[in-house]
Amino acid sequence: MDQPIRRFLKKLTRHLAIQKLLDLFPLFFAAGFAAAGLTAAVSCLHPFYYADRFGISLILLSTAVFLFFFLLRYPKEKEAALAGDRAIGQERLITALELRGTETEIALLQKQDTLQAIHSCDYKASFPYRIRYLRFLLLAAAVSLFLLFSLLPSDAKTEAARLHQAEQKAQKEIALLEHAKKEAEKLLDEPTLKKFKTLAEEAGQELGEAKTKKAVKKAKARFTSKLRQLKSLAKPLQAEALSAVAKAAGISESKLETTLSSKADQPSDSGSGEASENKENSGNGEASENSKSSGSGEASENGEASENGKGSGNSEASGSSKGAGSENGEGSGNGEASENGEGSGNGKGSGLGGGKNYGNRQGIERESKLSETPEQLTIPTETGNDKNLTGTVSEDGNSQTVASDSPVSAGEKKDYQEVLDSYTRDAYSSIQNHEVPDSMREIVKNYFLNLNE
Amino acid sequence: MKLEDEYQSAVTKIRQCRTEIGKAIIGQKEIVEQLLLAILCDGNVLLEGVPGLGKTQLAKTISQVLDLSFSRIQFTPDLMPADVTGTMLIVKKDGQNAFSFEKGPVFANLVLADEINRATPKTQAALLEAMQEKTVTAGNTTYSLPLPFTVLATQNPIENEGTYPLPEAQLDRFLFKLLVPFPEKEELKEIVSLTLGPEDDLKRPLTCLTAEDIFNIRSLIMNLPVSDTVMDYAMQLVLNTHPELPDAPELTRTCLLSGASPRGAQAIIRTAKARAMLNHRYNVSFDDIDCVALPALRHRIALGFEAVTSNLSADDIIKKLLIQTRTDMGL
Repeated sequence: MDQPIRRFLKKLTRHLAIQKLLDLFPLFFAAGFAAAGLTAAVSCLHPFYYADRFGISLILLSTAVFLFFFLLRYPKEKEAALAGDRAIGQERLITALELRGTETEIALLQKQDTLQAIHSCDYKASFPYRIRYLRFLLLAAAVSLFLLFSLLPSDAKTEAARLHQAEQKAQKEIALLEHAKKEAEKLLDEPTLKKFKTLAEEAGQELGEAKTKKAVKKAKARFTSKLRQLKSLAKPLQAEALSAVAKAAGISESKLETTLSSKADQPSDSGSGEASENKENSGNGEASENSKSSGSGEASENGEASENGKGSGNSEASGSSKGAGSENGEGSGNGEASENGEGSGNGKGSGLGGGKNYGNRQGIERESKLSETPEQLTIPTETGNDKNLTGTVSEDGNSQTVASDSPVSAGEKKDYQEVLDSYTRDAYSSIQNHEVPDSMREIVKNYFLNLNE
Repeated sequence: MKLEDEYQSAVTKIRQCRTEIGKAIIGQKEIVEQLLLAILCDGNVLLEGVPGLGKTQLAKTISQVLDLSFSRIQFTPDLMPADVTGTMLIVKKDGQNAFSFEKGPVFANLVLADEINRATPKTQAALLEAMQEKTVTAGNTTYSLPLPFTVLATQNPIENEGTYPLPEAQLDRFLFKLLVPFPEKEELKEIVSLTLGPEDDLKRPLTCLTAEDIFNIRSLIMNLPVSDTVMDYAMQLVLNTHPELPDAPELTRTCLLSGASPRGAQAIIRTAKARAMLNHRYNVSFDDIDCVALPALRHRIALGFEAVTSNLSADDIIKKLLIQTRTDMGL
């Protein structure tokens, strides 16, 4: 007798479960669709690219919550028995359920009585499904709201799409930069790597702040330009490595070719340094607009200063002002000397030649366009050791001039520190060999001491 | 005899009893049913009603129908315990004087204790002791009362002067307290016609049950199963009458001074089983509990000042508690 009662209870349990489904489903889904509709409505007023996806996520979340809730509250047999007793009456089912497995005479009588009551009840009439139309109306309203706002075009949606595209592009570029950084770590030497990383980080920041595709392009172009300049000042091996790194960053070789004549490429950069606005650079070879450069950096520019810039140049000067023995020695050449930079330096280049202008290591760039402090120096191949440069007053003067029509590119590129060391050695050697007048010894010594600080 | 047949037979006989009682007692169907339930559950009943409602006639009729010996004790202020239980008398036996216990009116199956609240507490105690123990002790000897033994006590709700109201502890010994209502107009008309008409019209009720039947029916009633849910409902109802409990409803805390004892819970379940059987069921239902809750609990709860000033009776409070208990249990 337990089996038929059990079957009836299972049937009732299913019935209750379906009823719960009909009661809960419209509520949860209405909530999900209403939230999604609200999100879609907000996206019509304020750019929110992922509004549709977010809305769908909310709907899916409401589905998940509904399923969880439904499974948690899935009717048990006892609940079904009590529900059944409301129709059949008099707690027969619940008593029979509790007497399951009991075979006493009274228990069998009770189950028999229960079965009779089950058979005599009209199941459909006793257990109808109750549909709450109001809840379904609510669901329909929420769905309509969601569809309406999702499909409604608006300026905010257009703006959101545009911003998203820019962001996508920027992210792509940032990913390339990261890849390039990894390649750089393998290929570049320490100093170059450091510079490259700085460039990459700046570019990454700019890309992150870019709001439009145009801004992304500009940031990329700026990076390309800086990279080009870095390459142009690098040693051949490093330059090659930089090409590979640039390729990893999605910059083609053609874009990376050094174009010394291209002023337009260097709106704010010159030399091998890095010019940027409002930046503080330290270390070797960085000068920037409104910034201080400290360290042993020196801006050097091979020949031409930037269009708008006033580079302090160590452009090649065939004449050497260095050995002039005066603080304010003059170098002359074809280069352009810097106007800026507080040089308590030795040189004042003037004229067309490559004047050497030793700006103060801690030169402050005042002009809007930089003076760079490149890392490398272009050392004239002919330095000193000229009979005209004796250190004494002579009729021919204390200078040597080599005129040239072409951009001054002759000379050897050397590391600044190497040059300084060499000069320092020479200077001290001169002092020791009494080649420097006694009265000038201290001055020369102090000079090089200061340089080496 | 198969169990089912036994149940059927019992139910048939009880229904016959109701019919037979109905011949002599006009109306009061609910009272009759509850009285029968109480007797079948081996309980005593306190009947409360104004004089002249036929309480004595009811008791007599029941005793006839159930084939039980009947005695009536009119309680008065000067009634002594010995007048109820019996006393030792000196009698001549075999030419010699000897003490003989003269049984009192309590020695009957059905004892009607009329206006029990008129007797002194001492006399009330004598009867109540007999009710509880079903024995009478006189001297060194204990005499058993005839079984089944049931006391139908009555009291008048209006004349309270010179009365000794039963204390709560004594009231608790009654299974049911029944409030005998005044008959409806039609019933009244029928009563008058019947009692003041020709004698032939007065139909004598027939005996339907014997004492042995009553014992059998009692065991059948005790066998009926009660589901845990129904039991929980009954127990929660009793607990809800206690204001000192932390989960007590607001109504209980404000309106009641004390709640029903475990005897109240026993009374509910026992009589609910009997009711279920009378209704051809083999299990107790929530409706059974609801029906027997009022007579089983109304004399076991003490009303507080709030209830009195709000004109709330014990019945009103129990009805509200029934609804609240169902709601709290989600039934």
